[in-house]
Amino acid sequence: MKEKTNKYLIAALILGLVFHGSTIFFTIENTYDALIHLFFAEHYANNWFEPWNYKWYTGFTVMGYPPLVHQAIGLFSLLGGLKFGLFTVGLIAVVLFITGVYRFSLLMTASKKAAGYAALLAVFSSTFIETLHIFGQLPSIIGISLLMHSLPEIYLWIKTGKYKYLIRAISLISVTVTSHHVTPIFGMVFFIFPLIGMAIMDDATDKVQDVKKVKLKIFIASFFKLFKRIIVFGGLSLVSIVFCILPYWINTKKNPITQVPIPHGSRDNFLEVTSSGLVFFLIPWGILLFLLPYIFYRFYAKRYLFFGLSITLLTILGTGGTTPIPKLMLGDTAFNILTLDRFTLWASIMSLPIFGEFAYRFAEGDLRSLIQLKYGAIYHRVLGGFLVGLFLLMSVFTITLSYFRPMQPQKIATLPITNFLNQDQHDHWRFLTLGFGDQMAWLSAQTNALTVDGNYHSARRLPELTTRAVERLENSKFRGIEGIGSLQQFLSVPEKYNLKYIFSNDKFYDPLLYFCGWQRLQQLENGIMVWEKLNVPPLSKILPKEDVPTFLKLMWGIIPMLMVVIAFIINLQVIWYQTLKTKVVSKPAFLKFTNSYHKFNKNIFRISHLWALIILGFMAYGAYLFYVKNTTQLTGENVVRSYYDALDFKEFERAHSYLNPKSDVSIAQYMLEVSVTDGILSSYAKMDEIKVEIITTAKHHAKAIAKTKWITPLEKIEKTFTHELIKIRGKWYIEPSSYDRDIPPDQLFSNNSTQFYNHGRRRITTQETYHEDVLKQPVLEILSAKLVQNEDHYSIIGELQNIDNVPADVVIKATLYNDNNEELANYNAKYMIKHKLLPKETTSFRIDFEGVAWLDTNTSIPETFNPDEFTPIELKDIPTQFNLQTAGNVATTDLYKQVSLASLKVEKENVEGTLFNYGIQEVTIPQLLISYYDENKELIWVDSQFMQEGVRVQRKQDFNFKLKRLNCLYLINSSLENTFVNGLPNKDIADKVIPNRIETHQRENLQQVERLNFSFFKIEINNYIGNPH
Amino acid sequence: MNRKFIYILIVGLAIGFSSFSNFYIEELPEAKLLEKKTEYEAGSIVLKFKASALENPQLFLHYSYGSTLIKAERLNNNDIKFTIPENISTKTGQVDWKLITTKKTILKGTFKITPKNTAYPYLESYFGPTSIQAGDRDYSMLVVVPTDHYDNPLPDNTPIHIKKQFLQSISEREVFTENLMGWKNIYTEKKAGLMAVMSTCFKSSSKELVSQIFPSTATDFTINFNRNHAYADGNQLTEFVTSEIKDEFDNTIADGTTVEFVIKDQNNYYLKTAAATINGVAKAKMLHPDHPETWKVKAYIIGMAESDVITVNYQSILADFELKFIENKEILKVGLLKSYMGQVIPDGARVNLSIYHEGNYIESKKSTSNHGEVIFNLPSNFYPEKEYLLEVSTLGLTKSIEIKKQ
Repeated sequence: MKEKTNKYLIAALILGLVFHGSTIFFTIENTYDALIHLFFAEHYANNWFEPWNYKWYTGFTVMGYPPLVHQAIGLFSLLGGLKFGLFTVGLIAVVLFITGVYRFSLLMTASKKAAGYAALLAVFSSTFIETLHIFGQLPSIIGISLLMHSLPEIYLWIKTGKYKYLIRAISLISVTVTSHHVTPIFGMVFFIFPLIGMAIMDDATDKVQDVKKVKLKIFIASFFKLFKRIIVFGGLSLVSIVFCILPYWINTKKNPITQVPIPHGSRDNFLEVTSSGLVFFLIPWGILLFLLPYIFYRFYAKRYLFFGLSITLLTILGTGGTTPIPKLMLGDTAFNILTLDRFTLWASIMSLPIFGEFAYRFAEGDLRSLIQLKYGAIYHRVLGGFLVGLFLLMSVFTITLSYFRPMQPQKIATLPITNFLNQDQHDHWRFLTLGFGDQMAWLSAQTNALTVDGNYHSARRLPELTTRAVERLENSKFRGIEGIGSLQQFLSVPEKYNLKYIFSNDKFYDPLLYFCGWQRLQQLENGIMVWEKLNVPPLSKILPKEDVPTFLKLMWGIIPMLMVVIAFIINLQVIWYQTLKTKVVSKPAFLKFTNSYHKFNKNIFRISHLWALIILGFMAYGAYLFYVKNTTQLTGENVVRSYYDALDFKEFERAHSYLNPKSDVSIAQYMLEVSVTDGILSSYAKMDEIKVEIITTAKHHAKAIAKTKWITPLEKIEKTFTHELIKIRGKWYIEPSSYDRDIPPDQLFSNNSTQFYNHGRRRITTQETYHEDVLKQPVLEILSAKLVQNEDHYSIIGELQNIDNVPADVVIKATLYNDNNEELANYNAKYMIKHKLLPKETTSFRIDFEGVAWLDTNTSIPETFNPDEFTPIELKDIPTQFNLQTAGNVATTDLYKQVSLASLKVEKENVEGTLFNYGIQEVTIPQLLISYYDENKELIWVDSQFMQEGVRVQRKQDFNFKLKRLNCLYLINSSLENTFVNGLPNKDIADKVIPNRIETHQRENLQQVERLNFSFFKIEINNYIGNPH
Repeated sequence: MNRKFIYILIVGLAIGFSSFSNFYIEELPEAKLLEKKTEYEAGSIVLKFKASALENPQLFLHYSYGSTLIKAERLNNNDIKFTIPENISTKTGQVDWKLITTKKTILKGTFKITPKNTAYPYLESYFGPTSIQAGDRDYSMLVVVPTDHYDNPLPDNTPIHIKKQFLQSISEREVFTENLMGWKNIYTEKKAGLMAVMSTCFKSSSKELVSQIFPSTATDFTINFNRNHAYADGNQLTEFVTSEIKDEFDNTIADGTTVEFVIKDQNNYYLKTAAATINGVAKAKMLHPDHPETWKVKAYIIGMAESDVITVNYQSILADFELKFIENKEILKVGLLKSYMGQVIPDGARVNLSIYHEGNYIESKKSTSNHGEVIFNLPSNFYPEKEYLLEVSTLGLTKSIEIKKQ
């Protein structure tokens, strides 16, 4: 018989290329992984044989990920750029996947039609769309596609024992492993073992003519007969898996993944975290959920029995943390390392042949006749329309998911950033991006500059990163305490990492940057704010690297592409014959094992209907729950909750709708009142928790206390609000709270201030900055410095003054020593200092010694967010001496001091007061630095307090705080001996600039307190301006 | 002695002699340096030798940056010539040379390279720090390094003329280079301003280099205040102004110097405001208190200078205010609050309400005035008792009223 071209396959390929080929341009750049692959590809394009990459994580090796896809993109990029390479490889993946599904289906069903249907369905299957267009997991797709291509060859080798099949199988497995290492390993368990089982079963069937007659004994006999082939195949594939990516295995052994696992949505309880349920369960399964009974029925047929077991396992493992079973099966470690979504992916891909078979039977086979016979042709058409509609709906929904729920920040034009980095030697320092999402990988691919961050978390090396579940510093706010904690360490001690520039795309981090001593440099054309830190040394010319033997580099560079070439040559012949029909190829052995599609099982028909009804019932119930959740004004508690929820999401119109409609606060008025409040709480906070307590209730009135907890970049804020509630026509409302009606005295006023400008370089040159353009470092003087112990941790406190005639940016670093002059720890001043000082301005400071948090992986990591969390450093001895190094650099920004302390009242430890802003800038976050003094007016402690609301121009803002008790405070050492300013001894420089200092000034105006274990305190004000103009 | 040993001895001696035969003393071929100079100026240097019989002559050079071997060029008259490579011949210092053939050193010698004589040396000059303090303690240092065209420093004792300009005066002096450079500490002046220096060496001049002389530390000063009126309305601003602050040499202190104004109120609380100076004057503002008050104000430039103490009085704007209940004693109205001329007080005056029941404090409420009035809601649902004492305080006055419900 002459072989005919399979129309369905051709149609599937055309459809696939057109559909994915056109959508891929709009989706893949927004996926989680694609840009990371691009970054790796850029690496190979420029350094094919050099595995060390300096750009991320202070250097890492690309031997941590199989290279094939990256190298392929890198090769194509030489033709038409990196993105061309990405799209080309994406299209190759589409073709490989569709043909792979076809071959796998043909092997399973032995029906060209069913396989054709499967190929068609594969094009639009939601699991494939999700993996390609949402996750961008190209290596994974190429891996699984090649695995499917290898399955018929493996089967034929086991079944026939012909060596050509073995060679083809091994060559395909080799390519698979160079593309994705996990696929062949798990594929061995979940795809190849069942396949071998099926081959043995078929062999046994051959003996007894009918699969039903196969008994255990016959099966075992066949098993022993084929045992040698299985062993040969198993051994060879193991060798190829180990050999082809040997450098990877060596690297894994050398740098074992000791990091704290990063939480992944696929381990969530899908019923609790519905978004994870959607992405990791509903979408991959898609319409297959309705067909589960049929799929399982078919897979538990005797021939497919092993596939049945495999798919059961995959299905269960894919449910993540919904049931405890996956955790029990995998054990804690594996459960926390593996991302479980891949099990669902494989289960749904494994189902595709059966899905194809179902489609075939439904469209033109026995199922169609059965339905038409039983319920008539109309029902068949309606049902068909429903299924096809649902299927396509699912596909469209999946591919547009990232449009409706963007998973990445808006696309950022990288050109202004790369230009900035190339300018003025800015790439001599490391940079950091904030709020870029995965686009940071694309930026890294575009520039030669190095970053401390990175986007391939298995390669993280710094303990500040590996000990926490922080994927990237970049998105640290989403990782709560650990994220911000890691970020703070990088921001406080940037010298350690030569980190000088930060590109911020998220204003959430602004206060954190400011209070850590960073300053805004400029806003780029693409809206990205560049922050800069002064006094950071540039990178050294030679950076450390971990070298590997040359043969590993050669293996890594040569083998993957070589394997592709070999596989291509070996398989080309087959593809040639199959597509061009130049020669009649002998029918593969598996085509003999056809299924009978004449009588659809009636029980399964009924069960499927029932199952579909159950699923529909679940869906309806879910929709109902969703609806009920929205009854916001049913109780007083609900309305307060909803009100804060609306405020949290800045949905002011919704918030306004909860206010008493009779209170005549119009939406316009409400918006005005809201818009004028600025500050850390209204501009930088995210609500973490709310507890509503109804304290007094009457029939139509109630009083509620809302205890709220807010997360801000600086600290966790707890704030209690009291609301009066009113019930009108069965609905509860909130009485609007009164707002501050204060009227500023002047409508228009003028204000003179001194402003500074620093040219940087006056000459346009690529050389080092000219000598005469280098400004003198402003001279500072340390007025006092003390090493104190408060409870169980040590701090250095003190006061310093800018005694120069120009404004100074202050960096202060303290080092602790023990009695034997051994260094114990060092750290920089973080929040407890005014980093920018005008001439002759003073500031108190406190330096805490922070350790790398949770270095000991056994300590439990708190689950809730606390940006203020502090990990005291573990010292190996008691510190008794210290060294203080301060450096001044000319500052020209953030010098706003026009906020006065307008009233003050102290009652026991309660301090109440008012700030008044008399200048022309709106202060977003005022910080109060509070210094404590003993009865001799000696400084004993420094603390700080961030105010929750900003101070607008010519307005008052009240504050209150509690003074600290200071019960366990000990002075260890008070000395100015080892204090240095700009590298010179403090005393010499002070004597020279101010020989006749009036020492009493600092002690003259301290606020006295009574009945506390200190005698005086002082308040200083540090102003953060969010939007300077 | 056995025979074996003798054999070994004979063979050993034979080998020994045969190798000795290679070390016969050879007669060295003759060679002579044609121009015996021990000093060359930096530039191109050529050594010529008369050495016709030499086979494959080479010159081994040892100099401060390393050693090298150069090949000879044969001249027509069979003399040989070595051109010293530029990287050696343009650097000052000592060069040792050895003329060698394949087998042996023939001649050796040494010469010195001196800087190239020039009337137009290059001048590398540095002046820093670029800002210093007025007075007599501080200075900037001028460092001049005159070099020849090959970047070799000129010899010691090369004269350098230094000129300094400050305000109207230009002064001159001469220094001599020592250890490759000439330098001079240029002391500061008592006046603040820009000091410019330049240097010349032979016929070359350097560029202009400047150092900013900033004023010295401030001296004591006086303060004053401006305000629209003397009423404690909690709304207007009082401006505190310093006199023009000067340093000990009568320079106006640097712009941007922080002056801190500390206010001590009647209750001994310290309030604060601060400002940076412009032309020596700092102007800081403060909100009027909202109650009668006497402030004692003193300003500081911390550690350096202070002002006198001034007293500022604020008068009460309000003699009395009204309290009344409306709507069945569920709403308390405070006001009308009137200001010093009898006008309605500007919005935002603060009013505190404290609620007591049978002498026990229950709670307090705060509000701000709107059109001179403040309204407190006291719904009987929340205040179920029959009697309450309400204490209202605003603008320094306190009044009480009782609720008595039937």
